[in-house]
Amino acid sequence: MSTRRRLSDRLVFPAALLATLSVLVVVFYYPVWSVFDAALGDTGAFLARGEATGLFAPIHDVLADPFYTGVAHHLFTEPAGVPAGVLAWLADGVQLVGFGLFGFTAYQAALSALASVALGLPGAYVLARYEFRGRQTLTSLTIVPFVLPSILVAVGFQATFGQTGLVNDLLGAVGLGPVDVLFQLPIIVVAHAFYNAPLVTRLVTAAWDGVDPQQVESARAMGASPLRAFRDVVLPQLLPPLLTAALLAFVFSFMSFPIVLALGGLRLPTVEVWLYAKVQSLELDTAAALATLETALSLVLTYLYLRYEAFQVTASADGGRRSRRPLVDGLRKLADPRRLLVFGYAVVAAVVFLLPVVSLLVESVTGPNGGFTTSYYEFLLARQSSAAVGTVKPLPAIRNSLLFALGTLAVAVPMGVVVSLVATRGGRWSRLAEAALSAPIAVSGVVVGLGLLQTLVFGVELFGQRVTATGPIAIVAAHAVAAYPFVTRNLTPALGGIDDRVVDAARSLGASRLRALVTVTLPLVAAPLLAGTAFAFAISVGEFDSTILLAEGSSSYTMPVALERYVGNRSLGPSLGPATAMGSVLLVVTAASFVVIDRLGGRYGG
Amino acid sequence: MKRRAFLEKAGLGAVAATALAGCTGSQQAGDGSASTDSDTSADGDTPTDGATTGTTASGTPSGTLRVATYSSFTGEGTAGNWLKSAFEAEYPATTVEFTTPENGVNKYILQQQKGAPIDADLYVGLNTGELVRTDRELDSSLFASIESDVANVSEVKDSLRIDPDGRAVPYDTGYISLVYNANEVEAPGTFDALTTDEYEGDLIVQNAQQSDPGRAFLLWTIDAKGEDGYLDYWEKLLANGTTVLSDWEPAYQAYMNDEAPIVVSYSTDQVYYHGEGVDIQKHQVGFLNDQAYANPEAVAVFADTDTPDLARRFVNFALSPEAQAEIAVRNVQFPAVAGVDPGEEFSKYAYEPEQPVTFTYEELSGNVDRWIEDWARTVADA
Amino acid sequence: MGGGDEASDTGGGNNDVGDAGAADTGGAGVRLDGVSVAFGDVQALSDVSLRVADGEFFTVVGPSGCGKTTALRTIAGFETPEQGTVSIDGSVVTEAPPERRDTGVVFQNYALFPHMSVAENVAYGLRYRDPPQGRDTAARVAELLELVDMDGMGDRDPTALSGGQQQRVALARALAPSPTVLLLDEPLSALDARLRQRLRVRIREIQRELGITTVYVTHDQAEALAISDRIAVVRDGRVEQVGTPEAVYRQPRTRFVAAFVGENNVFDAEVVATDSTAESIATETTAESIATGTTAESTPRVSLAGETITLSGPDDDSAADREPVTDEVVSGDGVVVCVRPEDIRIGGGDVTVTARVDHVEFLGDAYRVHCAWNDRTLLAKTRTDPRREDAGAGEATVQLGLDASDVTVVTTETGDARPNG
Repeated sequence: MSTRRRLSDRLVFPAALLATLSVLVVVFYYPVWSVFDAALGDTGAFLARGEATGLFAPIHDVLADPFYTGVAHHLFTEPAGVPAGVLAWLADGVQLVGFGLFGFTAYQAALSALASVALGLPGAYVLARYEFRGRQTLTSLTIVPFVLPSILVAVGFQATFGQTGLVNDLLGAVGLGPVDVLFQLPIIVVAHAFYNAPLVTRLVTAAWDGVDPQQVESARAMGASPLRAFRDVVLPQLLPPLLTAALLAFVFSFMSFPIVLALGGLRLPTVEVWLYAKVQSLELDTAAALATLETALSLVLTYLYLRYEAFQVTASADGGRRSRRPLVDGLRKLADPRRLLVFGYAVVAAVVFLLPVVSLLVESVTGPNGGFTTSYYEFLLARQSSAAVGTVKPLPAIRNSLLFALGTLAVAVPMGVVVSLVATRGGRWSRLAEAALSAPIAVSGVVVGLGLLQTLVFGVELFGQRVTATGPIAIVAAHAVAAYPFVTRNLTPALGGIDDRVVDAARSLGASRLRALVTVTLPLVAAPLLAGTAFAFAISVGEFDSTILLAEGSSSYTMPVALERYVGNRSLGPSLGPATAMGSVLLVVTAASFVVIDRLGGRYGG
Repeated sequence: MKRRAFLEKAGLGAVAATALAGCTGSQQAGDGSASTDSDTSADGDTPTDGATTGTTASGTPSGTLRVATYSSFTGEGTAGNWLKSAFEAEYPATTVEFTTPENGVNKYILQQQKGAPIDADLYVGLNTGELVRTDRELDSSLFASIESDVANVSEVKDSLRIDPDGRAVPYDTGYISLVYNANEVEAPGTFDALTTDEYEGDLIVQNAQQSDPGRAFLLWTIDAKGEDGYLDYWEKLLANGTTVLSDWEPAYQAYMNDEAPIVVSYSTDQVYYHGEGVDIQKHQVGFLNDQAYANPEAVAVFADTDTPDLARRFVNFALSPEAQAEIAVRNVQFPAVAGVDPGEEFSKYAYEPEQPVTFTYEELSGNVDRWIEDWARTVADA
Repeated sequence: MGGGDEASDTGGGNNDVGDAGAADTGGAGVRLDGVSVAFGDVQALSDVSLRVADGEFFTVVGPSGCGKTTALRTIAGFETPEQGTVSIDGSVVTEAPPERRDTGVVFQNYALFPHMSVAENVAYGLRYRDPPQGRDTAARVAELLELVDMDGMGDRDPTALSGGQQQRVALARALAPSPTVLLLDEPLSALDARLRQRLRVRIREIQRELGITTVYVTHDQAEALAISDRIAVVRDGRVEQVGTPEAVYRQPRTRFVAAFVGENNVFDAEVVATDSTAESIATETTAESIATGTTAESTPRVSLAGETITLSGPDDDSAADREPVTDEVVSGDGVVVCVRPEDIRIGGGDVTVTARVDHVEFLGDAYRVHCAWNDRTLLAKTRTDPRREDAGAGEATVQLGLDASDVTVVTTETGDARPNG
């Protein structure tokens, strides 16, 4: 019996790794490859006759097109002439040059990542260092922006920053403005920060909680100013999660698509806009080439980052209790400059995060003429009561969203843990493996959708049978694949910081590898694990591209799918009202879920 | 049963009992206020009896018809659901099932390319550009020619015939036009006016890469300015502060939020916006050069359907005068068949241009993708 | 060197011999047989064989990086040897995972579970032991906390305890499931000196009380001498010597052991003559050769500073430790000899040298005198301050004497001139 137990325990990890890889292959690598292989060009001629001229032709065509790559296209059209060109450019007085669609996309993504850090880092500071009523809840709610469909963010942003928006109303009331920011680059950057600053806040808060306050105190005792102590002691420990978040923000903003068009328009396009257009017009060679370049860029960045991370000090996450100072501590202290800065930040955060969300809620009860209306919610009720075919009902959508999200957690969290364990084995290969396994965040959702359609939905010939994989299980698997990198990214740095001997101690006390993992290792990284779990939940709830393809009929529709259906519904006139109502429901349901996840998960960490 | 309980609670029980004939005028959610679809007669699972009762005869086909369409064509109170119930009442041994593929007709193009079975019999909502793409991508046609088999095809207006091979048959059409706020601007009237200082920063259009009205408006400018002149025109338009948003919804939302006083939309705008409490000045329909771009929606039968006969009957049914009127009202589009009266309300608030323009299949074939790509690059570089 | 098996035979001149014999039977206790462990290119343990008797307190001592912790982790099951076998309590456990070995481990950094209370830490091992403890967990936890003088502290947060308290909790946690073997990895090195001494006494008491086989790893040779039944001195992944503390101290078998265990004066020497009888002769010393030795079966002679001294047999109880290392030497062989600082006294002896006093440390109970003689360093531990004794000399020089019986021949392997760890 003991032999059997031992055997099963030994098999748990290989089996979990195998299961993880299988899921990845079935719902990610194989479908995505079915799209990417078009970027390879004429492989048939190469394989049959060794003609390499057609290989990678689609990628070369994209790189050689100045529209996509700007001046960099010379590298691919006439590489020999590049040095002379650079000299001529230098001689010409170094004029500003463009790098085409890729250049602009990277530029706006870099700005967006910066803005996300600028908005998210102070939030982490406040949540990690100050105590105030509702701090826990606020921490839980930081992720909410992450799940909002772009169409609703566009609605919220228009209502906030538009000509007749709240900000201009407020500015007007004090005799300022109006400011015209819509359809300009800054608004895209702010919208990306709206989505990605929560990543910064959540990841960094988790790490900040793990910083030993004694380290700061000893630095202070040695004569360091508070700022210096922060720079020398705290910042080095926050850098890995901060850079993780910045990297993710960059990658997401790089591949951002609907929000860019809805708030910025086609005059501020990203690569993804072209990718989508090429898929729509079935120019799949070009689409695959664009997707390959996007993904390659993201993966190279990810790998470089992981190499860097491997050399960093990580917060020990030893569960040490750190003290938070009260935020509101008597009227006298309100004039404390640090608190004033905190409140200043609160105002900015309110404008960027709260106003669009509140505007969205307000829109859901505002008729086309500006009056109060409940008709959008009545619309939802009517959908719910309708027996007509093709009607998307809100309650099943809510139920499905929650069920799929829970299913996603059940799959994505173990997957993420397994991959993190692989990644923390150490060595260059494990970094490479993690980079490759983080591919789901580096591949455009449009491509994943197309790949799933071509493979799982259309079916694959296996042993003479056409096998298709759709429905709830396929949806959960697809969500899990999209979600687990968030678990991994939150977990890996913290796992690296765990003292192996604590785990050894558990093993020597009779805990199997699996039990030691569950009872010791994971509780020690409870905060990052929880953050990863919340993001996994958010990814599942917000996922649209795969869900809509894999949903079999209306029985598997989720909240974002219902919302999208209501966008197209004209029964209340050409109004986004029903969608805003559904969006408000989605907002409330997910916000409540995050609070519950954090409360339940907080217990696990003890 | 639940449905009935709800209706009675909502005080609408009486409406539910009225059959198809009485539905025309019931689509009046125009003021955007409380009334949800009072027209519930199209509930799929409780086919109402009506004009078609008793017409079942031996020899009529039976079976299931799988109709692929866009998502807003089906659901409570839609044209799709009305068609389903009416058709099933006409042929009681049949069932109509809707499927709403996210990728539209691309799904079926890819299925045929990949050798996967095509899991639909009929496609509803095809436009000319999509038909062109279908033929460009596939060696053998995705759709069957039905022109000669379906009697009512001959009733379709000549100006709307989009397919020289008689496969895709229009069942309704929209006209892309401008909607403007008369409190702010006057109707521009011409394409050239839009590039003048008077209209600087006043126009919101949609991305032709992904939006139907956006694509239609682009094609309209190509029709007006010619293949050689449209990019120049667009450069002027963009220089004059035109905003190009992703799709119709964000564009219209921006328009309603007074971001700009003119938006590319449909000439049926007032069907939604009229009556008390509506500022009708904000919903003025403006044609350019007395034109509007017709964007017909067509139905086509898949070539390898299992039920070609049933599918053809469905097309014939959709082109019947009664169905044409219903589709027009419920889809808020103009009928494709001449002489159909969609009712007083519709006729009063939906505007038809003096001179509808549209590109034919031949004109779009081999051109449309290039036109759009060139346009998009012009916008992106502007 | 294949010293392992052989070394255990040198097991000691006291009553531990019996226990060592029990270990040899392969019954209870811990055995490592020919164990090699490598990490990549680094060979952490090379062909190590050790036998720890049932109930024995066995210490593995060596400089940092010598492989002693690896040895302990191999016993615990955290490392799997490439070669050799590990046995605990008579069964081979080489491939068994840590949780199947019935060991209790105490780590240098305590490795307490920070997310659990003290009591939960102690109770942790009671969850998984097979077969499950029949006794009430809470009672067992209280019992253990009492054993380590931590009664009533069960609800505390371990991160809020002092280092000594944390170490005692770690000990209680390791002992709670009544393991067959207790493994302690530098358990005291993070504590201050006084606490370290107190706790090591307590650990030894508890070990005796429970009669548990214990393997203790430390870099501190003084700690090893003080606490152990037997000691294994490890260097570069190999066992240098195994024996009782007294044997290892008094009869080091390698230059390294001589230098590492306790303070020592270690010299190279050359055998100038051998004699099979007790009347052996030694002659001829040069200035460079400060010590010339000749050896016999049991009473070799050593000549220091021109004077030949006959080494007497070892004192009393360490006689059995005396290894006849010098049996095979012939004239011209090199040997290593050593003299403990405390065996060097001020004044004359069998050998008397004059050395320059460089530095004197007052230790309270003695003086540690750093001398230079013939370009060598000589360390003496004296009861009086040599500077006062030798007031007559103009320079700070001193006459140092030592007895022949205190000069120990360490080894014949003089090529081994590596610096002391």
